[in-house]
Amino acid sequence: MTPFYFGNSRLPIYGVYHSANQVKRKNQGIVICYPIGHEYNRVHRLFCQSAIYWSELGFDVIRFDYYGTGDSSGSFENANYRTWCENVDDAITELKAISGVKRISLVGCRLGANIALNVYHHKYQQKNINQLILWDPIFNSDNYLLQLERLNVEMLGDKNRFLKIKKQETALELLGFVYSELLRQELNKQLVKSSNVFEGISCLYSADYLTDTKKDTFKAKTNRTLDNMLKKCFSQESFDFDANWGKLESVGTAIKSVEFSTKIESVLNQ
Amino acid sequence: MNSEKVATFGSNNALTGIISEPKEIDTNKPALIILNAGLVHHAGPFRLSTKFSREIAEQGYLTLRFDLSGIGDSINHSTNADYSEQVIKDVGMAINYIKKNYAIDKVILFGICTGADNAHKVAAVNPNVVGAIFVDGYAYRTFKFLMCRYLPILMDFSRIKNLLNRIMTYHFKRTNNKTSLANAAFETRGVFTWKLPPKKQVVDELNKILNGGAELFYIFTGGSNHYCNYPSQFEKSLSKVKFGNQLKVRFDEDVDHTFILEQDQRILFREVKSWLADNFSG
Repeated sequence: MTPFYFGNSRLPIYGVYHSANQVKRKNQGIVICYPIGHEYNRVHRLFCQSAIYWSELGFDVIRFDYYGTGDSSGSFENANYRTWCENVDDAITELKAISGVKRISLVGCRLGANIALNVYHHKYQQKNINQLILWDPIFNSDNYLLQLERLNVEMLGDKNRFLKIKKQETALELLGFVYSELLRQELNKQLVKSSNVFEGISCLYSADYLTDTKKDTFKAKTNRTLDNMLKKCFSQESFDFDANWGKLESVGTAIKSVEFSTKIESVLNQ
Repeated sequence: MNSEKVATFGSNNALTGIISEPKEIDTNKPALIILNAGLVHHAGPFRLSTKFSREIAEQGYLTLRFDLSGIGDSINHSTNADYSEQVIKDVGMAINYIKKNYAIDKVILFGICTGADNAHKVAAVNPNVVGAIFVDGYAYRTFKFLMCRYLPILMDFSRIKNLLNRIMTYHFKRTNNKTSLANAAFETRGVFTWKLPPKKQVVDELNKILNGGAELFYIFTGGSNHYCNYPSQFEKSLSKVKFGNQLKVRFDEDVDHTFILEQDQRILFREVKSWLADNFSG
């Protein structure tokens, strides 16, 4: 495990490189794309453990924090979607330079899945990205932001967190992170709109993901689009655990799963 | 922004953290070490530790936020040491790293919940600790605590029924545990878990820490309400400790345990900066 800073020296990005087991080396790199906001901490431990596991199997792995998140420079308030996509691009370049791998798999979770998808569509030939694995991607940014807003309201009135209903000073803050107007506009523009973007991609879902996603949309047309998009995936599988992205109890709770690493491994080996 | 660097230290460089350097390093000022809150890695819950490090570095203090063995970006040593011994060793190695690389040998520890528990354990044995900030750390129940907590319930018959059920369940569960009601205060919130040590032990350890000259800052949020629910409870419950003027206590029951909101984080930063200026500005 090698932690380091990379990218633009004025706006450094924190990353951790997990070197492949030399005996089993596959010449295949994995770039992990985290979710953002409160969801980042929920998967951090799982991604650390998975990175160790995959590197033992012979993959070179990098995980990193986008600008304005974790240990990287900047504030979340000033972050934007375009920069986060550039950060993935830089992480791919960095992983190739450190390890010498030629082929790259992107593994993205939640908004990180959408960011990975964006990078894949724009750079898959140039960066030699031969695999994209999405875990619970965001299908509709309106619903995503609405879900965060609903959770935020519930959090402010949560008796297990606050003794009295809390008044929040910043309207743009959602679960501890300020989503600027710019970021919100970008999310609306950048997220999944097209019905053919999932061709050749592997999707993995938490057990409760599809029902929750459909419940949140309330629109039969959107749900049909979702089903059609998923049919175009190269492969799709479901985990046996609930991620509870839309539940208040999950805020601040880490996701634990033994099968996560092995299930992704089976997709990586396809 | 101040400069940040990766710090790796300990045996085989197994421990990882981030140093936030102030613009000018003053070796007379203590460095601040931020401990993990439970299993949350060194960026902290809702990125609190990263923001906190940068704010404090702006004030001229070198800070290190790092992961204990087996958490976040630090490898599990797999030594024979028990958890508390390992924490003391890990923080000792962090102190040595700062001493070796920055010629600063005095440190202040900052910890939330289990971080506060760990900060106390280290402060009790490591003479390099000249200050500690405990968020929702130790406090013992008093008669007034019980009145504040249970009197409103006793005025409400439906709540009496619930209370009796809970008491019965509690007594049923403690058949093999003869600790006092106060000592049975557990903090269990997801991955955060710690057990309140016997009061006499804490009194002795605090007197030792204070005799060494350390300054202590205790912050209690609404998250500690189940064991500390009024401002003077901490000092009243530890009346045998000779705090003198080495103690500051802040009681803020409107704030949650992990400072999820930026407005509450700002209050924390302001309070800590003010305490640092009062005690360590030279």
